[in-house]
Amino acid sequence: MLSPVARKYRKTAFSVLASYFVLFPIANYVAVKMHPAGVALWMLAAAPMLPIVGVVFLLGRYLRQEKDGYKRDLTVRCLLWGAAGAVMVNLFSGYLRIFGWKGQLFPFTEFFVFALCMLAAKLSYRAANRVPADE
Amino acid sequence: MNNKLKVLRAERGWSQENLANALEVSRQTVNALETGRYDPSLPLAFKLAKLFGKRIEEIFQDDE
Repeated sequence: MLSPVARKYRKTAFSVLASYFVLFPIANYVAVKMHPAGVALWMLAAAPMLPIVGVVFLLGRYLRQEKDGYKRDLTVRCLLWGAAGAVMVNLFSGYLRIFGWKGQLFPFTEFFVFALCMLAAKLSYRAANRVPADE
Repeated sequence: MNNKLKVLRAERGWSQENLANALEVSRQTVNALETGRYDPSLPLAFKLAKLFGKRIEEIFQDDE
Protein backbone atom coordinates (compact mmCIF):
# COMPACT_ATOMS: atom_id res chain seq x y z
CA MET A 1 0.00 0.00 0.00
CA LEU A 2 1.36 3.39 -0.96
CA SER A 3 1.29 6.28 1.48
CA PRO A 4 -0.49 9.46 0.32
CA VAL A 5 2.92 11.15 -0.03
CA ALA A 6 4.25 8.26 -2.15
CA ARG A 7 1.12 8.35 -4.33
CA LYS A 8 1.57 12.10 -4.86
CA TYR A 9 5.27 11.57 -5.69
CA ARG A 10 4.52 8.84 -8.23
CA LYS A 11 1.83 10.87 -9.94
CA THR A 12 3.92 14.04 -10.18
CA ALA A 13 7.12 12.21 -11.12
CA PHE A 14 5.29 10.37 -13.90
CA SER A 15 4.00 13.66 -15.35
CA VAL A 16 7.44 15.28 -15.12
CA LEU A 17 9.11 12.24 -16.74
CA ALA A 18 6.50 12.26 -19.50
CA SER A 19 7.63 15.79 -20.40
CA TYR A 20 11.10 14.31 -21.10
CA PHE A 21 9.64 12.33 -23.99
CA VAL A 22 8.39 15.61 -25.48
CA LEU A 23 11.45 17.76 -24.71
CA PHE A 24 14.11 15.31 -25.89
CA PRO A 25 12.75 14.76 -29.45
CA ILE A 26 12.21 18.51 -29.85
CA ALA A 27 15.74 19.34 -28.61
CA ASN A 28 17.18 16.59 -30.81
CA TYR A 29 15.27 17.90 -33.85
CA VAL A 30 16.48 21.47 -33.24
CA ALA A 31 20.07 20.26 -32.79
CA VAL A 32 20.04 18.25 -36.03
CA LYS A 33 18.24 20.86 -38.15
CA MET A 34 19.68 24.13 -36.81
CA HIS A 35 23.15 23.14 -35.56
CA PRO A 36 23.14 25.67 -32.70
CA ALA A 37 26.42 26.73 -31.11
CA GLY A 38 27.60 28.52 -27.99
CA VAL A 39 24.99 29.49 -25.41
CA ALA A 40 22.13 28.22 -27.59
CA LEU A 41 23.70 24.75 -27.68
CA TRP A 42 24.18 24.78 -23.89
CA MET A 43 20.54 25.77 -23.37
CA LEU A 44 19.39 23.11 -25.82
CA ALA A 45 21.41 20.44 -23.98
CA ALA A 46 19.97 21.61 -20.64
CA ALA A 47 16.35 21.33 -21.84
CA PRO A 48 15.99 17.49 -21.77
CA MET A 49 17.96 17.40 -18.54
CA LEU A 50 15.35 19.47 -16.67
CA PRO A 51 12.74 16.69 -16.22
CA ILE A 52 15.40 14.34 -14.82
CA VAL A 53 16.56 17.00 -12.36
CA GLY A 54 12.88 17.62 -11.60
CA VAL A 55 12.40 13.97 -10.61
CA VAL A 56 15.44 14.17 -8.30
CA PHE A 57 13.92 17.29 -6.73
CA LEU A 58 10.58 15.48 -6.31
CA LEU A 59 12.37 12.53 -4.73
CA GLY A 60 13.98 14.92 -2.25
CA ARG A 61 10.57 16.38 -1.43
CA TYR A 62 9.14 12.87 -1.02
CA LEU A 63 11.90 11.97 1.45
CA ARG A 64 11.21 15.15 3.42
CA GLN A 65 7.45 14.53 3.56
CA GLU A 66 7.26 10.72 3.96
CA LYS A 67 6.31 9.94 7.56
CA ASP A 68 6.90 6.18 7.25
CA GLY A 69 10.52 5.91 8.37
CA TYR A 70 10.93 2.37 7.02
CA LYS A 71 9.86 3.41 3.52
CA ARG A 72 12.16 6.43 3.71
CA ASP A 73 15.00 4.20 4.81
CA LEU A 74 14.49 1.83 1.86
CA THR A 75 14.32 4.71 -0.63
CA VAL A 76 17.58 6.18 0.69
CA ARG A 77 19.25 2.76 0.53
CA CYS A 78 18.14 2.34 -3.12
CA LEU A 79 19.46 5.82 -3.95
CA LEU A 80 22.80 4.91 -2.37
CA TRP A 81 23.04 1.75 -4.48
CA GLY A 82 22.29 3.88 -7.56
CA ALA A 83 24.89 6.48 -6.58
CA ALA A 84 27.45 3.72 -5.91
CA GLY A 85 26.86 2.28 -9.40
CA ALA A 86 27.20 5.68 -11.06
CA VAL A 87 30.39 6.55 -9.16
CA MET A 88 31.83 3.11 -9.99
CA VAL A 89 31.28 3.62 -13.74
CA ASN A 90 32.67 7.16 -13.55
CA LEU A 91 35.83 6.02 -11.75
CA PHE A 92 36.28 2.98 -13.99
CA SER A 93 36.02 5.04 -17.19
CA GLY A 94 38.31 7.69 -15.69
CA TYR A 95 40.99 5.11 -14.89
CA LEU A 96 40.57 3.51 -18.33
CA ARG A 97 41.35 6.88 -19.96
CA ILE A 98 44.24 7.62 -17.61
CA PHE A 99 45.72 4.20 -18.47
CA GLY A 100 45.58 4.95 -22.17
CA TRP A 101 42.16 3.83 -23.44
CA LYS A 102 41.13 6.01 -26.36
CA GLY A 103 37.52 4.92 -26.60
CA GLN A 104 34.47 6.53 -25.03
CA LEU A 105 31.58 5.09 -23.08
CA PHE A 106 28.02 5.71 -24.25
CA PRO A 107 27.12 9.28 -23.09
CA PHE A 108 24.47 8.24 -20.57
CA THR A 109 26.20 5.14 -19.18
CA GLU A 110 26.46 6.58 -15.63
CA PHE A 111 22.80 7.51 -15.61
CA PHE A 112 21.68 4.11 -16.91
CA VAL A 113 23.81 2.32 -14.33
CA PHE A 114 22.41 4.61 -11.62
CA ALA A 115 18.83 3.76 -12.63
CA LEU A 116 19.65 0.06 -13.04
CA CYS A 117 21.32 -0.23 -9.62
CA MET A 118 18.43 1.62 -7.98
CA LEU A 119 15.91 -0.69 -9.63
CA ALA A 120 17.92 -3.82 -8.72
CA ALA A 121 18.14 -2.64 -5.10
CA LYS A 122 14.42 -1.89 -4.99
CA LEU A 123 13.54 -5.34 -6.38
CA SER A 124 15.90 -7.15 -4.04
CA TYR A 125 14.57 -5.27 -0.99
CA ARG A 126 11.03 -6.01 -2.13
CA ALA A 127 11.86 -9.72 -2.43
CA ALA A 128 13.63 -9.77 0.95
CA ASN A 129 10.79 -7.91 2.68
CA ARG A 130 7.92 -9.86 1.16
CA VAL A 131 4.96 -9.50 3.47
CA PRO A 132 3.23 -12.78 4.38
CA ALA A 133 -0.54 -13.12 4.26
CA ASP A 134 -2.14 -11.07 7.01
CA GLU A 135 -3.08 -12.89 10.21
CA MET B 1 16.26 -4.90 19.43
CA ASN B 2 13.58 -7.36 20.53
CA ASN B 3 9.93 -6.43 20.73
CA LYS B 4 6.56 -7.84 21.74
CA LEU B 5 4.59 -6.28 18.91
CA LYS B 6 3.37 -9.53 17.41
CA VAL B 7 2.15 -10.79 20.79
CA LEU B 8 0.48 -7.49 21.72
CA ARG B 9 -1.19 -7.31 18.33
CA ALA B 10 -2.41 -10.91 18.57
CA GLU B 11 -3.78 -10.31 22.08
CA ARG B 12 -5.99 -7.59 20.66
CA GLY B 13 -6.95 -9.61 17.60
CA TRP B 14 -5.61 -6.99 15.22
CA SER B 15 -4.24 -7.80 11.79
CA GLN B 16 -1.04 -6.19 10.52
CA GLU B 17 -3.23 -4.11 8.24
CA ASN B 18 -5.24 -2.82 11.26
CA LEU B 19 -2.07 -1.87 13.08
CA ALA B 20 -0.56 -0.27 9.97
CA ASN B 21 -3.67 1.87 9.51
CA ALA B 22 -3.65 2.94 13.15
CA LEU B 23 0.01 3.91 12.90
CA GLU B 24 -0.36 5.47 9.44
CA VAL B 25 2.44 3.33 8.02
CA SER B 26 2.55 0.52 5.46
CA ARG B 27 2.03 -3.16 6.25
CA GLN B 28 5.61 -3.78 5.17
CA THR B 29 6.70 -1.44 7.94
CA VAL B 30 4.66 -3.31 10.56
CA ASN B 31 6.06 -6.61 9.29
CA ALA B 32 9.63 -5.25 9.36
CA LEU B 33 9.06 -4.03 12.94
CA GLU B 34 7.67 -7.38 14.09
CA THR B 35 10.48 -9.37 12.51
CA GLY B 36 13.11 -7.04 13.97
CA ARG B 37 14.40 -5.87 10.60
CA TYR B 38 13.56 -2.27 11.43
CA ASP B 39 13.81 -0.34 14.69
CA PRO B 40 11.17 2.37 14.90
CA SER B 41 11.85 6.08 15.15
CA LEU B 42 11.13 7.68 18.52
CA PRO B 43 7.80 9.21 17.35
CA LEU B 44 6.68 5.81 16.03
CA ALA B 45 7.73 4.07 19.25
CA PHE B 46 5.67 6.60 21.25
CA LYS B 47 2.73 6.06 18.92
CA LEU B 48 2.96 2.28 19.48
CA ALA B 49 3.22 2.73 23.22
CA LYS B 50 0.14 4.95 23.25
CA LEU B 51 -1.78 2.56 21.03
CA PHE B 52 -1.04 -0.48 23.22
CA GLY B 53 -1.32 1.49 26.48
CA LYS B 54 2.19 0.49 27.54
CA ARG B 55 5.54 2.12 28.14
CA ILE B 56 8.08 1.95 25.31
CA GLU B 57 10.43 -0.24 27.35
CA GLU B 58 7.59 -2.70 27.94
CA ILE B 59 7.30 -3.19 24.18
CA PHE B 60 10.95 -2.93 23.12
CA GLN B 61 13.90 -4.57 24.85
CA ASP B 62 17.58 -4.15 24.15
CA ASP B 63 19.35 -7.27 22.80
CA GLU B 64 21.92 -7.22 25.61
